[in-house]
Amino acid sequence: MREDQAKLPWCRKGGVMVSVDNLGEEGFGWPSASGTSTGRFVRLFPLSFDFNVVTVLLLYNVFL
Amino acid sequence: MFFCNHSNFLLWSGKGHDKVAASKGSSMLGDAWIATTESTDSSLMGDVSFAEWKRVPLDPSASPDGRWKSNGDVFPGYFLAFGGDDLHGFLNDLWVMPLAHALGVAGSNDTTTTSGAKDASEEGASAEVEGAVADESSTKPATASANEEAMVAWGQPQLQKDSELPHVRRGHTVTVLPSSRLLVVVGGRKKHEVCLHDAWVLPLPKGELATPEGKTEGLGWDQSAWVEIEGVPGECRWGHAATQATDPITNTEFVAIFGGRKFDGPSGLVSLVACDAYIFYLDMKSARDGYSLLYSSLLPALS
Repeated sequence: MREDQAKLPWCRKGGVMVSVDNLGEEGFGWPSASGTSTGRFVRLFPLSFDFNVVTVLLLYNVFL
Repeated sequence: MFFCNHSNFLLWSGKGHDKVAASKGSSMLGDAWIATTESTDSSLMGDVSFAEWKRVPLDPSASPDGRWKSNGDVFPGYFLAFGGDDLHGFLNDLWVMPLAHALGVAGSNDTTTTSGAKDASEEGASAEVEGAVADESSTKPATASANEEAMVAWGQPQLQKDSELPHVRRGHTVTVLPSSRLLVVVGGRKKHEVCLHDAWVLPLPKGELATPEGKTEGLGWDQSAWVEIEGVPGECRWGHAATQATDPITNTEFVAIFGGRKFDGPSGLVSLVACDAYIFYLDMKSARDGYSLLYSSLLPALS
């Protein structure tokens, strides 16, 4: 496989992942971990995945 | 109700199977990827997020070697990484990636290199080797096939001369305190059998930390030096978790640390550090004034 054909990162362990939305612009504050909050996990699906039932549901919802 | 929200995440390094570097076996990866997510809030489906991955075209001549169990954090506009294990040994090097440039060029040039990926079969001493066979020649960074101007270069800051460096390590945590402009490194292992019971702070220069081209000279890094924190409570640990937060009352930044692993006394066996956590305050003023040792107070976890 050529590297430029890879559309997803290799599977790995011991890597680092961080949010990089904060580029230092005015008004883009840091999230605060203080206080009480609720958390949730949302699975990230690759955009390149095949057309399937999830896509159908999404389109249905968009045009609803 | 339906709306989308975009977020960007940076993925860097790790141990995995680089299919370009080797047909099989695992490698130390030095690649970087940006995941742009589109999160939806849908009454029909609940929460769903989609991620589009784009590889960051890294300049192989200005990038850290592939490694795993490194760590890093974001200072607004920059990703700072420290240490890790590149198979040849544990590391204590510091690198800075300018993020605006990385976000701007990610995906614009995918025909880049393996970014220093290394054959994991060299990791003979590690108990965590997964068995790797790779073509050694193919693990070396390849020449980029496209416009080098579009590449992202990391900066490697040169700190104050003769200043003390933290021990080499992997499995540590790296946490940025952005308002205080401090980088905090806690724990890790400096050898396979040596667990670290320490914490270090690096004051970050005022102004930019690197140019868009990854240059760090002349930006004040040569005035910065690592300071070891005294009185770190608890025991040595690696593989723990840490994050930055701000006390809403005093507006003081702190590092919260949880868990990890340690060696179980004379037996030498690895055991869990069960559920202990600390809130780690630093005396920022003393860090700025003469780089003296910092007062630290670490409070037992909420139970």
